[in-house]
Amino acid sequence: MPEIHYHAEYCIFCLGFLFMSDVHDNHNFSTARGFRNGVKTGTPIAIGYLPSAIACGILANSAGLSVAEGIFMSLIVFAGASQFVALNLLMLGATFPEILLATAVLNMRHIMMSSSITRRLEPGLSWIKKAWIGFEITDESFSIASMQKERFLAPEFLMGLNIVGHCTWVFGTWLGFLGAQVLPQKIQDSMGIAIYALFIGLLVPSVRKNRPALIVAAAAMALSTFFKWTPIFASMNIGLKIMFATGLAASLGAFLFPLHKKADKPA
Amino acid sequence: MNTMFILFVCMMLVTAPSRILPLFFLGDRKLPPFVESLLHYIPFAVLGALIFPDVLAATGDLKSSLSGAIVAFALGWLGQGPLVVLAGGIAGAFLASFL
Repeated sequence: MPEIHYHAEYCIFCLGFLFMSDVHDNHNFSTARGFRNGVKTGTPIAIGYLPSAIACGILANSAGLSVAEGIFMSLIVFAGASQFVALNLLMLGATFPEILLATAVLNMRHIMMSSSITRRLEPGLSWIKKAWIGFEITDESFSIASMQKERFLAPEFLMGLNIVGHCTWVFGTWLGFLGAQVLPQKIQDSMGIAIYALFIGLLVPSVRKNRPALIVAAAAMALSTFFKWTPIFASMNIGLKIMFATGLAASLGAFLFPLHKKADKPA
Repeated sequence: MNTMFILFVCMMLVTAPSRILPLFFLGDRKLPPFVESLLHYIPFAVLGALIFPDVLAATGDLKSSLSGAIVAFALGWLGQGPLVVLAGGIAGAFLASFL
């Protein structure tokens, strides 16, 4: 994900960036420790994942996946937005390369989260611990981890923090499949709207108080409408149209509203 | 092996490196500001591009699709969580299909 609660998450995320430099300048060399402590710290995000994980299971079911396929996806991909986008593209009949390109690009934002966490790891960690920690980093676990006051984050703390969310994500996906089995057929017929309702639920709360993000999202909608209804682009694949609209709108945002411009200049 | 399993393994192979590799190689280096901003805006852009205009054909009927989308948008604007917006959108589309 569970990059799901954009509204809360992005607020915490931006705060994290604002305070990051302060945390480092404190010359505080303590370490956040303990697997149990990590689990305890990660429990609120796990509770936050559950509804989205259930939604993921419901959508995987309506995309025609088996329970085993759905659970396998949540277990090894463990990226909410990418999973939802992949399911949507599958239903639209996109090709596998398009799905892979879309998920890869969507998850590239983790580069900045991982590169921020890496500055707070204790030196000399084994490669397997690093890889394991990195594999389970999500927007939410990053947000919580980066808000810890300690200078260093011990590997067992991060693992506890991450694993509670990962387990909840997989369990919730399974619950979603169960829920989809018991829903009446008449309601399941209206489920075509579900993926869009979920996208709206991710996007709208996060952009209503964030003007640059609102403009980027609106530009992406306009561009994808343009690509869809302009005859010269008629033969272009749906996945490519979405990638072009995304790339152009995000570039527009990066050009018009660069992030933390002030932070780059010495105070 | 089932093609879905292969797709998901490939999805892992393209998403995991952006989480894992910076822990090994990036160290203290910062990404160029434009790239950081671009990465920040991608989720908003991709969701926008996915929602519109395809939402209009979501249930195969413009009226029920539009009703579901409007209900979902309103709930989202009120700050409701994803599951409430999801349920509201489905309910909106479901009820409008009887009109």
